[in-house]
Amino acid sequence: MKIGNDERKTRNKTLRLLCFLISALLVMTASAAVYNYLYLQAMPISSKTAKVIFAEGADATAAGTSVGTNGTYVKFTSMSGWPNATRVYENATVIKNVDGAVNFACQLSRDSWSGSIGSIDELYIRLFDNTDTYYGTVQVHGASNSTTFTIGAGEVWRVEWRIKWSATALSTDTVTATLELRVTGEGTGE
Amino acid sequence: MQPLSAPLLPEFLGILGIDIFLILSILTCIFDFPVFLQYVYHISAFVGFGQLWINGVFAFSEETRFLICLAYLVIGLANIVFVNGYVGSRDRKILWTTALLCCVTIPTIIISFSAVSWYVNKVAISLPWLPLIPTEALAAILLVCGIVLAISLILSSFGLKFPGSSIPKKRKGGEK
Repeated sequence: MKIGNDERKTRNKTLRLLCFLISALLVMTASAAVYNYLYLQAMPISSKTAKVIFAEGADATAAGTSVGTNGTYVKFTSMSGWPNATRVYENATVIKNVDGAVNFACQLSRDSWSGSIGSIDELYIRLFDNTDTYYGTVQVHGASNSTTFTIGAGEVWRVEWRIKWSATALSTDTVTATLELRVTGEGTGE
Repeated sequence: MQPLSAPLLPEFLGILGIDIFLILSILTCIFDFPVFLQYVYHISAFVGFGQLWINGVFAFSEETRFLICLAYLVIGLANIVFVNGYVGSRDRKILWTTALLCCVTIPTIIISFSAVSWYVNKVAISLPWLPLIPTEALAAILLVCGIVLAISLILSSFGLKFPGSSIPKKRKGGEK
């Protein structure tokens, strides 16, 4: 008779243990989720100075270079090209790594462009590294519209623009292009 | 994708405390402690969850939250030591006591002290990705927990007679 009583006790214990395990699993999941919420709430979005910035180059006046606040973007307001001949802005802007210790991986690519795109023969930029050696090309008008590079600590890279309109282009023809500089760990500048 | 490294929140100690109480409820069930104590430990885990929730809702200062969570964790650790000692003194089985000491008590204490040290020294820790559960689902989870616990409580209070299990009738003379 004692065997039956023990059997019942064991079954009850097993059931209770099962209930505890299920309940424990649920409570652990719920408490981890609550911690996750608290963790997300505790992570404020702060502001900091950009480490890779744009600055005016030697041809800034000719190109109408306008560097935005904090160097996070740059605009060229007076660039123009010639029909059937290439016009070069050798140093329209520079890209600077102002961090003294960290190298940053960057990607310069065409984001968008619009306007009289049928009337333009060439529109591209060429990158020159800290020693003024040619590094790569990003075509605005063309398929090769992205390049990646690593800018070393304290380095300054030169950005050269080349523009060539077709022979039949009119003085009223214009194009607008937007390029994007992605800096790994530093966000995006245009 | 790598998990973000960030200093721990004081609630991490609270979560450790909750886990300790859940382990305690399971251990006390395995080692045949009084049923009452098993439920006390399990409900203590719920209380810990409640204080975690309250910390989030009422947004106490970080110092207060740390002290609350630390107190909860210390109570959990003290109970682990008590259960270990009680198993040792009651059953006098060296193997069980040592196993419990090496597998539960010492690791729990080491992890808890490490967590407190990480928090105090603001050490950035990469935690695994934790589930993002909607708050409505959280309420449902707790409701299910309550139901499971209630079922378990009913089973313990009234016993469960399974088909085929013979429950002895008490006989005169004290025969079991």
